[in-house]
Amino acid sequence: MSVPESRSLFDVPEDLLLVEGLQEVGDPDLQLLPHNEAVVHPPSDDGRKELGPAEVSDRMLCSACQSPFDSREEQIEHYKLDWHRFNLRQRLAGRPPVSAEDFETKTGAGDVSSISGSDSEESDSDTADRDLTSGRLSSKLVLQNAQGRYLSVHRCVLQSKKSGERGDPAAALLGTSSKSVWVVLMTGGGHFAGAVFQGKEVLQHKTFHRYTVRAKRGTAQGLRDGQNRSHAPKSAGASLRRYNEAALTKDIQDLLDSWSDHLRGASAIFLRAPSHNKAIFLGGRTPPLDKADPRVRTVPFATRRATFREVRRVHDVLSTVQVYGRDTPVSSIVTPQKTAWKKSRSKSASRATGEQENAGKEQVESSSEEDDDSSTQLLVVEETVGTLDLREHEIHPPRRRRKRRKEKRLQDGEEREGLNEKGVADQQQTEVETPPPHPRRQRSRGPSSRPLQGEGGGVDEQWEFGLRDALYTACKTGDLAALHALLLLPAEHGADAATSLNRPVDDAGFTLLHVAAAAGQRGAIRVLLDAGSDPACKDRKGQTPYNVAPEKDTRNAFRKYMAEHPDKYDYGKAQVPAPLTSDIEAKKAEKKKAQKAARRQKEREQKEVKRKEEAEEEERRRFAALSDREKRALAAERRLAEQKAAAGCDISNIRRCWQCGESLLNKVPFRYLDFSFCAPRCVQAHRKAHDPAAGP
Amino acid sequence: MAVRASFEKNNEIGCFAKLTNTYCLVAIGGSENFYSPRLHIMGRMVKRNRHGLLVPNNTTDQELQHIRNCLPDAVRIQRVEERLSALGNVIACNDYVALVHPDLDRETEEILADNLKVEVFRQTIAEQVLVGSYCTFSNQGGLVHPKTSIEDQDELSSLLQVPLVAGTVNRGSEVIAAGMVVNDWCAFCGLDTTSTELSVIESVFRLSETQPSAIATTMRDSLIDSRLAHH
Repeated sequence: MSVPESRSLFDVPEDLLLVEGLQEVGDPDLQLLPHNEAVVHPPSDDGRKELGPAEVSDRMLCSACQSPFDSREEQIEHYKLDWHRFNLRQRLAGRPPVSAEDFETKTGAGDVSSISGSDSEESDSDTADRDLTSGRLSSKLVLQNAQGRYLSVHRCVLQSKKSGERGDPAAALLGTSSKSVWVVLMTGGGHFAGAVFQGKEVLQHKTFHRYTVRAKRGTAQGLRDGQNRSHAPKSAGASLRRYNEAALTKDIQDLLDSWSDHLRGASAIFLRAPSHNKAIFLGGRTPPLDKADPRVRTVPFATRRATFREVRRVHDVLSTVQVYGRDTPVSSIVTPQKTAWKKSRSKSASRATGEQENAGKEQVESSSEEDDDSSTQLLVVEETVGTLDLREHEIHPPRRRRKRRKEKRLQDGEEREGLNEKGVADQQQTEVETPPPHPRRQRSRGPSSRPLQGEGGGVDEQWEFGLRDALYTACKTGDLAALHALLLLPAEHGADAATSLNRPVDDAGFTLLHVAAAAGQRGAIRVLLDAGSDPACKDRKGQTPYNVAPEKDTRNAFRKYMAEHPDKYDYGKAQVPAPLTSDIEAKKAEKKKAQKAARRQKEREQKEVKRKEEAEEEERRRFAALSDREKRALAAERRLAEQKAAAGCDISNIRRCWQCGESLLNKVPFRYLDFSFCAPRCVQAHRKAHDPAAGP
Repeated sequence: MAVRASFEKNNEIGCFAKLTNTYCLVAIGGSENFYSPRLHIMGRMVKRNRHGLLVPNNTTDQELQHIRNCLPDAVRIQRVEERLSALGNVIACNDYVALVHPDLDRETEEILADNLKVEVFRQTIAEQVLVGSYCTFSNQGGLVHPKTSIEDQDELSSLLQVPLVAGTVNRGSEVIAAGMVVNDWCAFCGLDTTSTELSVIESVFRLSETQPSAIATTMRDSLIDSRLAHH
């Protein structure tokens, strides 16, 4: 099969050679294949043997519909028809089969519910889309021009299935030009994307996203509620999603209201909405689109999530005309819907790269769900939304928001006194007007902590943010003067310091009090507590400021405060254990001193014992080292001492030096004859005195 | 060759096992350490042929991963969001054609056509909508509900392009798909299956014609493929 040439639908009418003598080509299966040549061929198994006890029947008849077939293709197609399905149900119910004509009138009258076995919107659209006499219509329409070349284009682009008689597609093709306005609207899974095209140009576009689909489980909340009304979930998430569904519907309807001019002027409106989302467009008291409007058409192929890029892809696919050479067999052009679908898919994939360059522009222009709804609800939404699949909305919006804020600032610049005299709406201005201490810090932290501030309303977010940042810094560094000054700032722009006190300031959910406590800034803690920071606020981990304090003194700052202001806060919740007054503190100090003294005493005693033990040890060693004579002497002395002790007289008089009277107790005496002396000197003196002959 | 077998003393082996030309899935038995009630009746929940495997949307990621790990890479595994989640009961297929419940979702039909590479026909068998339960067919032949009329058999046969016979398994059970599993070379039926039923099965599925030479010819690709997949 030759590769077709792709042309834009909007260029085709200008190519006179191409459109000359354009004529619709009928169903190729019926016209081009001679019936007698139609061969029944087995699906594809060549190796299969056609032998055996049982034969493959060649009965080409659907007994449920009583309709004979001429070819295998016809047979295959027949079993996909809703007519066939309807007749199957008829047969199961014991009713006679319905002829194709009857079925057509039945479905034409809107009685399609009887055959619905499928929840998808395709089945509904298919029933109306079908020309029963020639089988299911392909989603592509083939036209042949005077040169014999074939043009293949999506059927829904040129014909509406709603108008009873189909218009001439060739005329419709010639009628399109680069001036014709198309609107493409897609929704699903909480996403909405819509765009107005004039020719290939995008006139307007808009995307929304709301959190409506149940996380992990899938399916929109509305569908879940619809399944079992009596047991609709009451969780916070469920009510959030319910709210968001309603809000999304309103967003879309408001948008379509504002686009009403384009919608009126559009030559075709392409709609992609899962069945229950259709009500957004076609339901309600004043539906934005009319159900019977022939311009409203569904997108005849599968689409991905509703994004602006996808809308552009859909538009591209719809507006593509494929031009085939004259020798191309028509049957290869008109393929079953399935194959056509694949083709468009792969084409879009190759086109996706080409779309990259537009992506930047697209995302700057597309605005996410920035709006003015009630703040508490919205706060939660934005936190939940921060998942991967929503990244497309999160990448660029800050720029847009800032722009918007700038405009706003320009307007109320005069009203703001003191800090904003210049009124210049540029980025530096933004920084100048934040409280002075740490402008650099503010710049770096700005985008990251933005999602935390959910307040849209009248509060100037930039101002509030700068203030909070300055407070943060003061708490962290313990700059009491700055902290006092900031806390005393007048409540300007609806955001004074007091409002930020009990609000988390960073990703960990720290309040200012947490920050001060974690930094061990006791002065700052006291100031903040005085100013009204609730110590019971918890961070993400559930820790109170008291818990995040690094050391005891910081913790004591809380306890002291508790002693001074016992009723100001809920200290139980703040997990501050007990108050700490100076009285208690003094008592504690005394107790500590006593403990210390006792400890010292004990140490001293231990030392004494040790010293004694050492002395004993020394004695033992010395005794062991003595000679036997000395040991005997010692033993005799001890015996003597014992005797004397028993007699009651003084031990010290027992043995004394014969010469000088010095006690010989515990000494080894010097002896000669029967005399004992304390020193050699005494011995000599004694001998001199009693034995003169012994002297020299 | 047709063989009698049972799964934990249960004759409805089709509920617990799935057989194709390239692989066989068997449910995890209660006697094993690991027990998963959902995988247990896997045979009723999944639909497969040699190209792919469809599992219902209540399959857990763990189960899906397990199946993916076990099967050859060429087999595509797809989870489908389908109201009629017992896919085995509502879909009957071989490698080329599939019969489906008349009320099956169009999306599922598309997925079926794309992943299993089959032509899809909405049809009933003997006035029963559970086509997956009341018939079994391989690429060679098929067995349908015993009360299927001759006209219906002819029609189905021309639709499926295989010879069909009305019959029973498990001593008269009409729930054919539950009572047996079959591929192009082999069939396994419940233990209660009579020899008459076995001979009907062997003849319509052309199992008796299989010669040892087939191992080297028609079965070669599948066997070698599966060997590679396992080692």
